[in-house]
Amino acid sequence: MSVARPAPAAPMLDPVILASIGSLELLARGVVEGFLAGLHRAPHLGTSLDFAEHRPYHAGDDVRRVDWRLYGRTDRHYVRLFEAETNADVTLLVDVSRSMDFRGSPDRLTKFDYARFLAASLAYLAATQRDRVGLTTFASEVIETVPPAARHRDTVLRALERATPEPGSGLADAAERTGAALRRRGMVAVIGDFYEPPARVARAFEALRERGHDVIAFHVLDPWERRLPELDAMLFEDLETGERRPVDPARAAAAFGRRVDEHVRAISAELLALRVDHVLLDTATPLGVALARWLAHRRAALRRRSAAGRASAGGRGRR
Amino acid sequence: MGFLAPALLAGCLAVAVPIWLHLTRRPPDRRQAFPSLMFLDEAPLHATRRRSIRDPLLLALRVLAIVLLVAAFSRPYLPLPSGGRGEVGGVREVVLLLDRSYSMGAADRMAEARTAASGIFAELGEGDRLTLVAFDGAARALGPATRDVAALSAALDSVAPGEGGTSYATALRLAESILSASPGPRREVVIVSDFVAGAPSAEAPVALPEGTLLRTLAVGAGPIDDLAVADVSLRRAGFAAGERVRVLARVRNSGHVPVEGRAVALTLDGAPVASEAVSLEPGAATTIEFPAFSVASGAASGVVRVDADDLPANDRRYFVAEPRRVLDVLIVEPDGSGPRRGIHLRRALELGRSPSFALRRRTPRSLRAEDFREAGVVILDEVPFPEGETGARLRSFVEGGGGLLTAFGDRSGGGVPEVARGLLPAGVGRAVSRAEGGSLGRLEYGHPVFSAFRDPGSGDLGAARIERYRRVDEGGMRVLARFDDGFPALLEAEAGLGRSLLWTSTLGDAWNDLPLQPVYLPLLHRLLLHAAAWNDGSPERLVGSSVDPSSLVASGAPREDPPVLVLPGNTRRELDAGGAPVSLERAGVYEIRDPAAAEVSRFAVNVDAEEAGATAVDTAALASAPADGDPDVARQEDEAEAEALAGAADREPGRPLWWPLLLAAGVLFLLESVLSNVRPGRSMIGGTR
Repeated sequence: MSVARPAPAAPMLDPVILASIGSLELLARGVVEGFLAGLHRAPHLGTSLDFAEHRPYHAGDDVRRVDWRLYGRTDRHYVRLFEAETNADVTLLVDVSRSMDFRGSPDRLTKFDYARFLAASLAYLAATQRDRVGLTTFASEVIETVPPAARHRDTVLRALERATPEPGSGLADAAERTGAALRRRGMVAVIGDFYEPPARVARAFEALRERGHDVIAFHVLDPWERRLPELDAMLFEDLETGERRPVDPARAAAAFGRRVDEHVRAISAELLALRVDHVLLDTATPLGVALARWLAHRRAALRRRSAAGRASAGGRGRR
Repeated sequence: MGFLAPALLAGCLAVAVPIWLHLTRRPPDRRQAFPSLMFLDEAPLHATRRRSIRDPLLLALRVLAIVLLVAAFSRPYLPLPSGGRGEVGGVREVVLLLDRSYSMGAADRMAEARTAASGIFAELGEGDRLTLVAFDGAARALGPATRDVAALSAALDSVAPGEGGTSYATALRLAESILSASPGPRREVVIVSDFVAGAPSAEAPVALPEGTLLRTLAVGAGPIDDLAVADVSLRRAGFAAGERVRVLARVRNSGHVPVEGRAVALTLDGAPVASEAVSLEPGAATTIEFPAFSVASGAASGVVRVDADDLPANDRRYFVAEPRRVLDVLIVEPDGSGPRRGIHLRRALELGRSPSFALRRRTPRSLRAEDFREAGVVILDEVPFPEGETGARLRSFVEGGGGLLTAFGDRSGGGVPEVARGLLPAGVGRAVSRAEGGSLGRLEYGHPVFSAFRDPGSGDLGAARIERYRRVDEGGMRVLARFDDGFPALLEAEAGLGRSLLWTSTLGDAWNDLPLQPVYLPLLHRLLLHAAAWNDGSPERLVGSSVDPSSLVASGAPREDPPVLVLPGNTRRELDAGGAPVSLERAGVYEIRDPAAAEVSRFAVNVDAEEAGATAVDTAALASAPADGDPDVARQEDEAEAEALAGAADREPGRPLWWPLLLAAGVLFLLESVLSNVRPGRSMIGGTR
């Protein structure tokens, strides 16, 4: 499990400040460009002609990309691949169930808004990196799907702007459908609060992993969901089911915190076993933290994919 | 600061309620939205306890608002210095109205009233003055305004319950006249009474001077045993040798406890005649019919009485049964009238029983001067007023006390002879036809002729269809009724000792269908009785009323000794026909012994049965505020206060403070409401919904 720590990010990455921006596109652009500026890197990572790797020549490859120097040293045909050409399918799987529509304090974002802002920022960042971006919003069932495409950034942003909290939560079903709909292996970012038994959460991610997708889980919680505040005893109402239960937070806080921690640890362990990055965020965490984790995840995924490609090329060469 | 209702201050304990709720209970509808309850344990709310007072400011506001509210309802006032009210608020002019009606004779009511009155005396400060007024149907000041408690107490001890009814209006009018003449800046009227009646009062509120404080102190709240003889009526039946009279007594349980087997006895001329036992629930009434007795010669006086109870004044009801008297009616009809002429009129008069009507029919030609000698009333039925000597005799008959009823018809047109001036209009107009039928429009229900028809269901005079009538010039006559087109229907004129009535349509059914209406018979009877100034000789009179001596004895009659009125208890009082009215202050049978009269006449006087009962008097309607609506006119109605005032002379009404306290409480509640909605942390709902 990895717990994201708030970073001294640029003001534009503060979720509360972001909430004042009406346009999700403006918000995402501000987040991403602010984030990239903070990295002191070229803002168009992947669009340069930076060499990335070699791969064996296949019939049909452009012969102009054959590395003749390597051919001279190895007597084998390899083509040169660049960063810009390693774009991938990025699918955002966003939980819009009613349990996401919660904030413990008026000066924080709801989890729903935080998830939307994060998804929008990821979409913008992915598009900046020439990745094909797609979106699936789900609650008890899949609400809206935008298939990954190079020009679908704005479509994804508009879909996120349209999203409203819906009843029910069906992560496993949404993951199953999304995994089945993706024709190419890619990266899937799942954003949700994962209020399901860890085993069920794991089955959902397993459905994605089985299809070869690199998956990252952004586990979004409000600070109150980690530690109960000092409230008077009163009726607590489940946002999903409407069930009401008399609760005395003063009494229940300790057990609640312990159970939540166990739940998070269990999910993290399950996801670790599936080689899914688990990023625990609370709604006070600047979005830059999540974006940094995303980039790290992307780099690792691409690296894994290159390694797999080389392994595959080596196998064919030896044959 | 003092309180008029200090007991209500116990309501301050209510401040514990918000504190207790604040510490122990949650409002049942207070909810916290939460993403999932899967990690939360249930905890019963009733077992929860707040660790500390969460918002002391809000709690303080609530507690303070409750305290102010309770204080306002306790009727606080600013006290005046112990040296007396006069030093600060000016001297008080107090009028204490003490009820001495017979209902105050029940149980300990008068004793309670004296105690309450003594409490008022003790309240008097330096410079204050009090006028003690005893009242029943009448009101009388028992002395000048004074602060001398000894003199007031002596006057108070002299007050005893009488046998009169209660007239709050009379007492308040006297109080108003006393206060109006007072220069004192502060005026106060205190009524000490049982405030009960057998029926709602019909008295109009009395306007007290501006700024007058009206206080009502009720006494006698306890239940009493009171079986009352509410009414006695006589049912007559004629027989060959005279007539028999049956006494019907209506008995009512006006008390608060059931009556079982209580004896109701009839006594006639001092001899017991019969007795019946009655059982009645509170508020119930029954009629007892006693055996008939003969009144062939002379009048009989009697009394119906019940066994003694807590209120003895209404345990007896007196009556006088005189032989039936006859009113001689002379009907003058047009010449040539057939036997069926005037049949409605005759039939209606033949049915008369109280009194009976002796009818004689004449025509203008057959009319003789001696016919008027025995007549009580003359009816000119479609006959013009006679001229000449007959007319003069008729006029002198009227002026001597006789009655004249004239009805118009087809033959009544033309002028009115000079001899009839003052008895009839100067001119009689043409007959007016109402094609669709008119009706009686405006009636003077206060007139004796129509007073019996005033109440709903007592006779619909408007139902009669009037097809024709004669228009007359009202002249000097008083119009008692008009048709719906505004022209006179019934007129009255007085001449000498008699009176003349004019009906401008027919008494038969030629011009109207009045004879076919149920009201015809009683209306005709009342017309004749009024015209003849009929006195049945034994009317029931009420205690507290007065009687004109001239109605009891004939004036100018030669007699050696003056007539004497013998009161109950054999008290004698000489009667002067031209003297002042005689006040009837005791119930019983009164005798008039007039040497000029052949027989001793008697009449009964009884207490007002409506005085005692279970109906509470609406004290708010006794007096009205001045026209400008001065808010200082206040009423304090508190039954318990009578006792409190009797022993708590140190408590004084002063400037009222309840309304600013109430206002402040309202402001605090408003402030609390605003604060509780705007203060952060008060809204516990964290979700966005």
